[in-house]
Amino acid sequence: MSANVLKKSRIVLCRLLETALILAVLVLVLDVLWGVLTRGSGSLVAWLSSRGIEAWSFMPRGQDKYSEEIARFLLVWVSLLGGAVAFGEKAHLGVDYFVGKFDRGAQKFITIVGQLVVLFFAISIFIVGGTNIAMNNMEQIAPALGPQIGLKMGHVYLALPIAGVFMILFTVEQMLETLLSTESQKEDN
Amino acid sequence: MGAVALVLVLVFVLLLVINVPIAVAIAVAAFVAIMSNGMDPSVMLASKMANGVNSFALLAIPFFILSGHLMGRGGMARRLIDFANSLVGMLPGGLAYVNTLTCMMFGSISGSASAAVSSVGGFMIPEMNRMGYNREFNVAVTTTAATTGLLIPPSNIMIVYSVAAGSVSIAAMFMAGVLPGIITGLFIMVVCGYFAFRNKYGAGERVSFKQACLSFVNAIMSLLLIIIVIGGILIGFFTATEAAAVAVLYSYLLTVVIYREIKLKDIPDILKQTGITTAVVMLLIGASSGMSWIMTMANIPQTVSSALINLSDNPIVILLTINLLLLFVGTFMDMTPAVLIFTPIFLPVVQLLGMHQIHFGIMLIANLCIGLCTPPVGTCLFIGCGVGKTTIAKVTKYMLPFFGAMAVALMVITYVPRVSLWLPVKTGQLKAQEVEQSIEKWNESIYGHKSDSE
Repeated sequence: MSANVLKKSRIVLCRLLETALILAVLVLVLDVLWGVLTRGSGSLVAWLSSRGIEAWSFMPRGQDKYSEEIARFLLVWVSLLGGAVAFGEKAHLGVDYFVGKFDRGAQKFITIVGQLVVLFFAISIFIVGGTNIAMNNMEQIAPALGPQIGLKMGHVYLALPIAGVFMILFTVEQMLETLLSTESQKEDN
Repeated sequence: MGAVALVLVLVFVLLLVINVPIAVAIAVAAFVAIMSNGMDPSVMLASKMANGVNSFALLAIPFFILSGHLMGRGGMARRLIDFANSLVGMLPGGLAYVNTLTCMMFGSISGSASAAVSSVGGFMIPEMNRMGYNREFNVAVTTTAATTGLLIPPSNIMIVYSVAAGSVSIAAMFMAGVLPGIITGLFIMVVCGYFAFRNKYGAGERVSFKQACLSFVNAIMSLLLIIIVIGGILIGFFTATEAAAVAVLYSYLLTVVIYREIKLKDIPDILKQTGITTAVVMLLIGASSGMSWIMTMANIPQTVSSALINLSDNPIVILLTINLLLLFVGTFMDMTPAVLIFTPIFLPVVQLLGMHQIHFGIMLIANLCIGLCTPPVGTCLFIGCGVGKTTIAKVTKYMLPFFGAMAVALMVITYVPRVSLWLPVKTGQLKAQEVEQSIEKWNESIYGHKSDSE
């Protein structure tokens, strides 16, 4: 029963994370295109007015001043959240050549050690370091968006601990898988 | 100082060997090294991980990945093959040239050598098998030709290099890669020609003029992407990032709206894959910015420089050594981490020799392209063998002449700076005066020294 709940909450959490990632990439594209469009429109308006023509009032007069900052901050979130998803899908680049040289038992052991290293990475840098830097920057206002909507640099850094939590979840899950597969192998023997 | 460097290298190599993800290996090695230097690593590295990717220039990477995904899934391979076929298909051994040419175009547009191998190879290798070409030869052509797309712009690895090298213009890198990419492709075609002659491969049918025109129109819709991106950057209207975003819009219109080869319901999955691929690269970049900070603190680049210069004071030998080291690294490490790790180490050395940073970047990428096709770890080779249903052991014999071609191209790229620097000067991405000075210093350090020692 509780295993079922666990499984369901895992699926919901993963969906949430993936949806956030997909939306972030989508907004990223639209935002930068908006930046190009507004700048193009700005140049057009300037060109028209140099010929004494008044452009329609709805045409943006120059590049949107938020588009660049939104894009950079979103990239930070995409990178960190996507990084967590990549741990879940084992998509990160590694060098598996040497491990392949060991026998099965040693491979299991090495895999566990590797997963412990990933846990250390997630906890020390993403959770501890990330929480610290987010908290330290809660007064630091973002240059363009800060005055407008009260965005602080700390909010940008919040992606670190959030991604960290997911990394830990995925890694612990994979560790359990590795451990359980060892046991079932023993039973076979 | 030496101890910190030693800790960094030891931890990194150990973690690599036990197959920890490279980004984690870099970050944890930097963590231990910073700690052994008596500082608090947690906050430092957390800030590097986030701020290392807080850059507008890097945004071009997800966009090129996304447009590559869209174009790749949208039937671009077939259209490019038809076009290449109408150009070179009628030559003896024509399909080999068609394959090479298509890989160059596809690799450029999709920005991914692996995608070029699987998409172009998935179609061309069975076709070549059917026409009586040797299976292993077909895999070897596809695998090596696919890597040329990394030199021909647009190319994400060049953006990664620009970031790793500091303030290097992405537009200049793009222009610098054009000739080296084409030269490498031509050398590969020369090897194809030799095999075609020796094995008496037949010529394909000559395509009727009308059909050729049709295939050109179909292909130009895909090739227009390169023209929009490069043209937009050259005119100065776009930054690389904006050009990449426009490329996404264009690929979307082409594949979803016009050709309708991609359904709207496929889009979320494509966006997710883009997010993941992007994150893999970005995590590497973030971790590397932490590592290069501690490397600079521990004077590692200077140590390597002086070691290399002590080894020999002949620049030709130093460059050869660097190339051999990179070839070795490339056999078991992927391109992105290799560029991120070795740029800060080797760039200061070669700059002492007068090598332009754009020139070094192109050499580095051309070198690591070879590593993508070599065992034990060669992404393109693995995919090629999978697509061609053969084994690495069987392919290796046929790969050797192609490695030869790539190595010769690499030597040309390494020792003839103008191959990389001529075009960016012509298109105004680099200042002629600055480049001339750098080439003069380079010639002096190579030839000036030669005459001294003789």
